[in-house]
Amino acid sequence: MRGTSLTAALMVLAVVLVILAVLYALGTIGWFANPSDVHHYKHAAAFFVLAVLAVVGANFARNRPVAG
Amino acid sequence: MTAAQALFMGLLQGATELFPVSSLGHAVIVPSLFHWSFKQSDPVFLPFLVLLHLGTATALVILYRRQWARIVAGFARAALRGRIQGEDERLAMLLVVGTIPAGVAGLYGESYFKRLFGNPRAAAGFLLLNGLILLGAEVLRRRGERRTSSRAEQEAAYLQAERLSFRAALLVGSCQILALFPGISRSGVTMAGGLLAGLRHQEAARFSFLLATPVIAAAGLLEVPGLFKPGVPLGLYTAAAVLSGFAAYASARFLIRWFRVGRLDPYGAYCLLAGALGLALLR
Repeated sequence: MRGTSLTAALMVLAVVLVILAVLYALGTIGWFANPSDVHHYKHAAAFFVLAVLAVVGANFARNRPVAG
Repeated sequence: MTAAQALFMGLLQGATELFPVSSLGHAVIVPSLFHWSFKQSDPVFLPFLVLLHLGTATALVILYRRQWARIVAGFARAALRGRIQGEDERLAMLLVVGTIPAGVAGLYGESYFKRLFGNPRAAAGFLLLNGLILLGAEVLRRRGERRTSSRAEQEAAYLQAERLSFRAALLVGSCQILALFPGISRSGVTMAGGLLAGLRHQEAARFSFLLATPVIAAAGLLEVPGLFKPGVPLGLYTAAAVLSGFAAYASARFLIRWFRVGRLDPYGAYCLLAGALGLALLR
């Protein structure tokens, strides 16, 4: 059960990170990024990589042995 | 920046990047000591340094090419399977866990850390602090060491990088955040962290070099577009980066041999001395 919840949480996190990556790339948001840049491609790339890692984490959580 | 200065900076960066003495600190302090006219706070100085770092990262990839091939394949296998089997897959995941903190901190702290590049006295102060970190790590390490007949036996009692726990990898990786301050050495703080996590000196160095590669390469690739501006001597900068790569390769080979039985003490002492001299001479 714990593995399923963690998998779901990590998948939601991955979706949120992809959305943030797209918004950074489009320049819609620019939190903590260089204000002189219109598009924040560095942040977009970083959030995309984190989203991929969240999916990998979800795959690990899915395969966790269930206790009891 | 003249051609000779750029090439000298390349050689200096490559030689000091993997030694635990802070290449960035040297890149900020040395030009000020020589009263060179270029400004470290100049917008093209950071991309220039990053290009030099790319030379270093390339040298590390070449040096550990077989290991990197196994790590990349191990990551792909473990990611698809959702389970870790074998040492290569474990090392790959340890490196991923260790890379995330510095990657995120570098991204968000970039503008703050860029400001410090224009302050050689701050860099000298951080270099001094780096010396204290290295010496402190060795003091703590010695407390836990067994008394044996030889240093090699003493080292054999400690762990290989693949045996590190994920929590320890996260902590060692987080140490890299400190290296964003010019004067604090990335390899120095990660080696110190590795030693405190129970790694052998040679393994702490190997883990540090492997951990440094993705951060250096990613930072380099993201900053390189900043070089394509009018007036930037790209050919000269690339030549400096190649020189930096050769120096880094030679340094890494030396350090791998050194840490079979050697310690961080001489580098700690050097940082204390260089930091104190920098503070005294830079006004």
